[in-house]
Formats: sequence, structure tokens, C-alpha cells
Amino acid sequence: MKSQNLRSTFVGMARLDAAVEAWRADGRPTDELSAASRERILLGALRTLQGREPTPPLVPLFSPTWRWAWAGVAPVLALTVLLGIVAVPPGGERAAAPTRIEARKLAGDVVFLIANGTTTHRVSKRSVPDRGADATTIVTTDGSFRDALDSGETIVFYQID
Amino acid sequence: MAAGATGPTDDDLVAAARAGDVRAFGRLLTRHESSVLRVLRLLGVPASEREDLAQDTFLRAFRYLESYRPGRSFPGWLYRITVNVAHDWRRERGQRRLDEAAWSGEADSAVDPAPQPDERSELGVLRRRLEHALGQLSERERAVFVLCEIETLSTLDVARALGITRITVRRHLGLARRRLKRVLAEPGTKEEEKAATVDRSSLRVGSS
Repeated sequence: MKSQNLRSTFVGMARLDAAVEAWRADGRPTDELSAASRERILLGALRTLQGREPTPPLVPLFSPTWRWAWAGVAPVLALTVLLGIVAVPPGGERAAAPTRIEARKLAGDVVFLIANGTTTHRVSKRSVPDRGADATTIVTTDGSFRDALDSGETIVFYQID
Repeated sequence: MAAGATGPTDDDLVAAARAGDVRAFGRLLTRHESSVLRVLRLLGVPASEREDLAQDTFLRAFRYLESYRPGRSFPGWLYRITVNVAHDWRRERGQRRLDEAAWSGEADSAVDPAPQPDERSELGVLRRRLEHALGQLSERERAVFVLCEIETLSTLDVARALGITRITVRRHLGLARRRLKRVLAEPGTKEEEKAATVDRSSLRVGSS
């Protein structure tokens, strides 16, 4: 029984070695991929490459294509800049006129001339310089405000908005 | 597996392919396609599936080409992908080796049903017998045996290819050999018996 097992082991070993040698031998199967499979693999590789490619760099603004575009745009830009310069008065931008209040005494009235670029103003008249205090409010539309001149030593506060 | 003295090495071709040279990858493909197909066959992939799985292997290889470290065995790296592809295929089909009967069935279907003329020779019979016997191994034993014994990779390369230690490689190889010896010791067909008794010296003629 023991010798039978030993024989079996040797047979198995010899067969295994022979089979391994057979697989290593030159005549072993050398399968090849079909042309279609190779093509599919290479196409897949190409697609992978395309997916990997970084975003193409931006076209330089002075490339030949852009040069023609700039040639057309340049005169328009130059004219725009020129008009801008001409339109701005010397000394800087056309800033809003400075606020100016002028008070005049005309007969028994006091007349305020308000000039700050707008003509509509809201004038509040109070006896104390407190924004919260009761006030008489008048809306002017012509840039001037006229009020009766009180006699005596009463001080009147005008708030012009 | 690397090129001869006249041609570029695998590493040269990998470098070119990494730089976007698809033709270089094409050369790697033709250089290694036969090995990949053979390994798939010995891992139990039926003929009807091998072409598709080989495609999958090479496409994955191209996709992950950056992970290959020059100077190491390119075939070893490629076989790692091959083994993974075969494993994924088996898992998808629910063909894990849990049931011996299922494996036997798979092994039968994996071996080409109609042997080619050269496969009817004594060597061919021996190959087919081993191919059948490999079906008795676990997935890992099978991969270790095929890569070590048939593809003659070093235990280090096999360990790298399968992501296991060299000790584990040796252990699986020992187990695989023991099991295969036992299977092959059983009497085969008359044709197989005749082939099995062939003088081994004749096998070495023309062997690599």
C-alpha cells in the first residue's frame, strides 16, 4: 500500500513536470488577438489619451487670426477714447456743482438761494436745533426759499435737505 | 519579454506610450498579447471570452500605465492586471471557486472543446491534461502556479503581481504542486497515459 502511494506520487510528479515542460516548450499555443481586437484596444487607448489631454491653451491675442480683428477694432477704440477726452472739460471730470446757500434780506422776507445741482429741496424750520423737534416743512422746487423775517431776537433754525 | 538587442525594451515602449505614442503601445500589445491570452486560458477563462478579457486587460494597462515602475518586470505588472481582469470576470459570473462541482464544470468549459491539430500531439495532450487539472486549484493557487511555473516569473515578481508576500507565493506553489501531482497521478485516458509516459528528454528538445 505504501509502495503504491509512493509510486503514485512519483507518477504524479513526473506527469506534472512533463506537463509543465510541455507548456513551456516552443510549440506551446501562441494565440493572437484578432485584428479587430487590436484595433479596438488602440482606439480605446487613443480615446484615453484624448480624455487626458489638457485644455488647449488660449489663442494668443496677437496671433494672426486676432491681428485682423484688432486691425478693425483699433480705429473705433481710438475714436472712443478721443471723444471721451474731448467731452471732459479741462481740469477734470464734470463734477457736481458745489452746494451753495445764499441768504438775502428782501423787504420783510429772508430769501435763501440754494444751489447744489438740484432744484427740489425740503426745508424744515425750527426754533431749536434739534432734528426731533416740531418743524414747519416747506418743499421748494425752484432752488430758492423765502420766509417772513421775524422781528426781535428770536433765533430760527432752517434745515435744508 | 523585454526586447532583444535590436529593438526597444519594454521600458522604452512604456515611456513612449506614456508620452502619448499609441504606436509604441501597439508594439507592447503585439509583444505580450500571446502571453496574456495564454495566462487567461490557464486561469480558466473559456476561449469565447479570452479575446474580450484580453482587450480589457490591455485597455486597463494603458489607462494605468503611469503606475508601472520602470526597471521592474513589465510582464509581471501586466499579469497582475490580467489576473485581476480574470478575477473580476469570474466574480461577475458568480463563478467563484466555492463549489468544486462548479469549478469542474468551468474547467471543462474553459478548456478548448476541439483541440487544434498540434494539440493532438503528445505534448498537446499533456498540456490539456494540466489545463484540466488546474481547475482543481483555488483561484490564487492557480494564479501562483501559472505565473511561477508556466510563465517562469520569479517569486518576487509573482508576489508583486498578486500583491502577496513571497512566503505566501511559495506556500501556494507548494500546495498547488501537491494537488496537481495527486490529480495527475490518477489514470487518464489511453491517449493521456501514452503522453504521460513520454520520455521527458524529448520534451526538452526545442524547449525554451
